[in-house]
Amino acid sequence: MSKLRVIVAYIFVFTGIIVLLLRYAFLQINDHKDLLTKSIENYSSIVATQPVRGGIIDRNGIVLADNRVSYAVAILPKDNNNVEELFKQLESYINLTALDKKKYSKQLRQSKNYDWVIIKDDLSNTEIANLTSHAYLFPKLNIFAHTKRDYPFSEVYSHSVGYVSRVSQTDKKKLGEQGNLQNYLANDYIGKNGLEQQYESILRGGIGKKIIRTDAHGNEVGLISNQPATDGYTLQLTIDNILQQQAYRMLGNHKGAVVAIDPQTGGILVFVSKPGYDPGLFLDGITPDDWEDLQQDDRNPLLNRAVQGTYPPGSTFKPFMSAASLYLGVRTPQYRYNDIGYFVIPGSSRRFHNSGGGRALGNLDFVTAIAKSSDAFFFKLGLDMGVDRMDKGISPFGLGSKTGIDLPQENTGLLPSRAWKAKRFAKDPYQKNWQAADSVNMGVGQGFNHYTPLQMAFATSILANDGVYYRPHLLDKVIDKTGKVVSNYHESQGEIPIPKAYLELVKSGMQKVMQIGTGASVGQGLRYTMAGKTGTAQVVALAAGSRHAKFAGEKYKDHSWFIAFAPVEKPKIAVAVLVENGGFGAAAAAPIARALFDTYLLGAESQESMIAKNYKKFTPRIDKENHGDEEEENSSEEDNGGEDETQIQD
Amino acid sequence: MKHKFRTKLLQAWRYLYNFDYVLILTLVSLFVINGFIQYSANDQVLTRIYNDVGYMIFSFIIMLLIAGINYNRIRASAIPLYILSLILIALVLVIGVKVNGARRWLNLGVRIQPSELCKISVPLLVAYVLSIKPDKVKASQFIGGIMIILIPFALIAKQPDLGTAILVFAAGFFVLFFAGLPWRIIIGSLILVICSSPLIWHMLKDYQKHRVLTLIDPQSDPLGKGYHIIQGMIAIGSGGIHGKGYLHGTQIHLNFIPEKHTDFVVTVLAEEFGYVGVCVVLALYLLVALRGLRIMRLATDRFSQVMAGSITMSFISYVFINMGMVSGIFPVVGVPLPLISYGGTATIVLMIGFGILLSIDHHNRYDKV
Repeated sequence: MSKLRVIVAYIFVFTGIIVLLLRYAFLQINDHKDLLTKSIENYSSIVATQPVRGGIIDRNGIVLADNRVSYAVAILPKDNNNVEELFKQLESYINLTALDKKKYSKQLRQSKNYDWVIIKDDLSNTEIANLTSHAYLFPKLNIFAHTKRDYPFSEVYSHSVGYVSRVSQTDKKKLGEQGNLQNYLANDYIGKNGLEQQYESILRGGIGKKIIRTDAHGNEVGLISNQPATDGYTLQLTIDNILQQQAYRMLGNHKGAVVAIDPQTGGILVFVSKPGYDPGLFLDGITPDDWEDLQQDDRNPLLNRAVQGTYPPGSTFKPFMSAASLYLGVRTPQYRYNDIGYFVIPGSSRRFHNSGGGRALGNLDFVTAIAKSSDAFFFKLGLDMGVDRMDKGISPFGLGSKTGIDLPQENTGLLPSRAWKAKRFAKDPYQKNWQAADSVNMGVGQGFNHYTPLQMAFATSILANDGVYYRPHLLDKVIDKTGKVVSNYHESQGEIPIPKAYLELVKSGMQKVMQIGTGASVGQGLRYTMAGKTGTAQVVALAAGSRHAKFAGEKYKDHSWFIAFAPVEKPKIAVAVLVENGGFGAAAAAPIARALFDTYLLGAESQESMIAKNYKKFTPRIDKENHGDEEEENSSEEDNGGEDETQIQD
Repeated sequence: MKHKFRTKLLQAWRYLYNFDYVLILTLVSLFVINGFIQYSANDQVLTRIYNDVGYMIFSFIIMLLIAGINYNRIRASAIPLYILSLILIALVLVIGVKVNGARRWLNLGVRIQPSELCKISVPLLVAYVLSIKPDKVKASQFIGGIMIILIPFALIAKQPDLGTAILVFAAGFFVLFFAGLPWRIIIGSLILVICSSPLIWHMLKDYQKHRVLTLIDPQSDPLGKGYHIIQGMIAIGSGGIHGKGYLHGTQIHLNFIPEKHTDFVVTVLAEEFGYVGVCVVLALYLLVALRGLRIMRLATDRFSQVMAGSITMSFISYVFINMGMVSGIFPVVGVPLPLISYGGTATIVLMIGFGILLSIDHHNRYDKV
């Protein structure tokens, strides 16, 4: 046999062996780490366990938001490949709408391999019965109980508590940037507004992670690790539900806002913006119809008037103008002025009339000027102070800057300046310069300045507390499910530079408002001392006393303002009430403040406090192990709560 | 009497002494490894490997029996064996059992795969034809040899079982190669095959095309055709140098590897015993090949030379194709890993080959002395 062929045979054998040795070395040494990871990924699948979201309760433990049990029917996507067919079969047992199908396919796109995808949520008892009795027809379906967010007072707290909704793509992006994405499942809930959004991380808790060992067919064959979920904490607010309900009810059919603050702590007692909306609409994604209704409602229920709505403060601005002028030395405490019913800027002929008919109020000092709400007095003060000193005198009260409340999307309001006006009217050569008339108008809280009801309430609380302030906040403390306090809201104290004596002078003017001034009718029969100031913000600028036919409608009526605090000696509550198109301040806004004060300070047995006895209260949980039972317990309580709620509406 | 007995004893001793025990012990080692690997691959269910062990022992006995036959008698059986194979293959095409769209099996009480028999009967007849006369091989003999190869090749390819057909072809080709098939014909036909490869591609069945395509890019279809390859490579790579430990392979025991006890059995070895295990088994295979080539070199006549060469080269080719396929350097073709995959017809055919090899060796050592 030829030697060459033998050599070729040997070369063939050795080449083959060497190639295999290199190939296996490449896989087992070079790629080992990578492929080992892949083999681990192959057999381990992560099953997330949901934490129980913390509740939100008022200062007395009344539940404002928590979780209720809902029954849903769901399927694993890998078990079903014909959605149409399945839905058709199911239609005879449960009520399925086109929207349910849409929601299903939307969830399907976002879900991972082992996530159950919900076909229909909030099943009625009949539907559950139908499905369970025909379970043999749908072996792959799963009916399970899960918790859903529940807002027992619905629209009363929509603007403070906010709402949760499903995690959106935008949320995912944001969570990814925060490095927090792994704490959420594909179809999870996340706080989208209000406190639910602000304190998401506290309420949410931590997702539990169970890593199971599965075989190639996805069957569970063992447990690798189990890290249980950590439940979220409950927020206890400074809000007093009794006051909140009362304020919301008393606004009646008006749009408006009521904010009450405890000046000693900055804790917010009432936070109302009316109209509200049903936060439950957003839970599983708002339907297009509902969304259009909310958007096109000309009452604008989505606007959080308390922190996002800005209004000219009207005469409620006068106490702050007074304090500012004294502080800046524009006026002395002894200053007097003769109100002849109108004011004329020297060198011009234009008359600025007192509102309400231009009645002359005579010779006035600060106290009576505030009490009687003399426009002429403050027209002149505005002119004398001028725009350039406005910022130094007014901004100590927090007007024109964010109060720092623990809610998202707060509006700064507007404390105008020359620079602002030049920029705002840059294209208008006449308007862009600051006019003397602008200063005059600012003196009475009209013109360009705009503030939120929260800013007015905060300013009032600063004034009430003699310049010592605490930034307003809704959160009082964070408690765990056993009721133990985890942390308290840190309230830092501040003090404005305006001397106390000047503030006292202004306060006595405001006290006089309730006795002999514009609020005297509301101040009758007081069993504590109360100081206040009415205000009327013009919606359309009209010549004094005239009423143009074109502007006769409700929506052109002036906004009604009232700011107040009580008791004067040691204020426990400061409030700002805004009633849109409410007309004269004393008529619409002031009675609400008075009623709140009576309830809060005298403990008057109001309609709300009677009902409140039946509200669902926060109950500390002792049993840590038995989750299922707790949920049932809660749900039965929740049923009671629901019945009570309908009673209120009656 | 006593003297006669001693002579007989000595004779028997000489007879037994002259077998290639290195080769036999290497094969025994591979069988032992087979037992351990199959126990793991069959999820530690002892009853499931009885069949395998039975095949191993049975085929080992057959090998020993054939080793004892004079290879000239084996040569004499070439023609009937070849005719028997052709009949069986033809029968398969008519009454064969269809599995997965391919007719490859005959049900004769036990299910057998007649194409496996061709792996031994084809080279045997080619070697027979080429060794009719001891002088230089004539062109007509080569042409006859090629015809002998092509008939079963075509029949098997029609089943369709291109993998086995190619292996049968290779077994016959090795005989021609060692018999001195001219280089210009070898290289010429190689060029011809390469040039006509687009045409061949066109003739391939869809599943065969897929196998080639998934080899080029397994990730293109990770849950379909590429699944075998990807999961196989994960199993091999995740074993690392030392492996995950016997019976601790996750890819295997959680069923990520299909056919883990047959064609993909090397994943069990690689995952549980790591690169070390792979090297040990490759070393044993190399030893078998080197012993085989040694027997070929020491053989004195053409028939034994070309048969020894063909058997050895076929054996090592199976190793290369199987281990190359599982590690992703060859397309997936149904070739089991010799002596380690679950026992079956292939094992018996393989061991018949080793029986012939041992017979050739024994003849050279014993009869010549």
